[in-house]
Amino acid sequence: MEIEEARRGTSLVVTPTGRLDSGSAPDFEARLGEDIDGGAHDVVIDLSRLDYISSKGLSALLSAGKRMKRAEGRMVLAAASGAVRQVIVISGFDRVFELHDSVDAALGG
Amino acid sequence: MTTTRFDRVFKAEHGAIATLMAAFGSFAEVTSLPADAVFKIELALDELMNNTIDYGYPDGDAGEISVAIERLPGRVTIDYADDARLFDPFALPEPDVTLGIDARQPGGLGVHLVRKLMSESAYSVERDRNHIRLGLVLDDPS
Repeated sequence: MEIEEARRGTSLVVTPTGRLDSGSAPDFEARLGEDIDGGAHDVVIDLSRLDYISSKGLSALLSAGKRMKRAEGRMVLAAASGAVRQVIVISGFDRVFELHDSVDAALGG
Repeated sequence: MTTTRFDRVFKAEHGAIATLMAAFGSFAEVTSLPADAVFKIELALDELMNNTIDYGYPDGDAGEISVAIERLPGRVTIDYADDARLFDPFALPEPDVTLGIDARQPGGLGVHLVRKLMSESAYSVERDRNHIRLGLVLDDPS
C-alpha cells in the first residue's frame, strides 16, 4: 500500500492506495499517528484509491480517529465507493466518522 | 459452465495469507468471478484466517488450514477448515454497529463482515476440526 499526503488549505488529505489489510494497517495507523502528533488536526481520508479494506483496516481508522479526538481535531472519510463503501457502512463506520461523497465535500464540511 | 474447484492447504501463519490471496486471485480470474464477489470472498478468507492464526493456537502449536472453493453456476461455496482449538465464531454476539467513536473498541468486526457479506454462513465440528461453510450467491448468474 502507498500513502499520499497533500495539503489543502489548513487540511491534510491522506490517500491510501491499494489494500488496507493486516499487512498494511499498522503502517497506515502509524503514519496517521505521526500526522496527528505533528499537528495535523484537520484530516480527510480519501478512500477513492483503496481497492480493499478488512477489519484490520477499520481498526486502524478507529484508533487514529480516537487519537485525533483526544487531540481535539477532526478526521473524516471521503470518496469511498463500491465494496469499500459497503464494508464501511456494514460496520457502522459512517456513524463513527463523517463520510463524505467527495474530498471537496469533506473539505467544505 | 462446468464446476471448477479450488482446494489448497496452508500453514496457519500470517505469511500464508498472501499466498492464499494470490492463489485465489488466479482462480477467480480463470473462473471469471465478478470483482464484487472476489472482494467479498477475499475479505471472508482474510478475516477467518487472521482469526484462526491470532487466536486458534494459544500454546503456539503449528496449525493447518484447508480452503476449498467451488465455483458453481450462479454461486460460490467455500469450505474453510482448521485444526485450531474448537470455536464457533458465529456464536459470538453481534457487535453494536450503531455506537459512536467513543464507545467503539477495536476488534469484533471481522466475523460481522463475513456474516453480512456472505449469503450463507455456518459452523460445524467435523472430525475434531473447525469447519466453516460459506455461500455467496452471484448477482450475475453466469
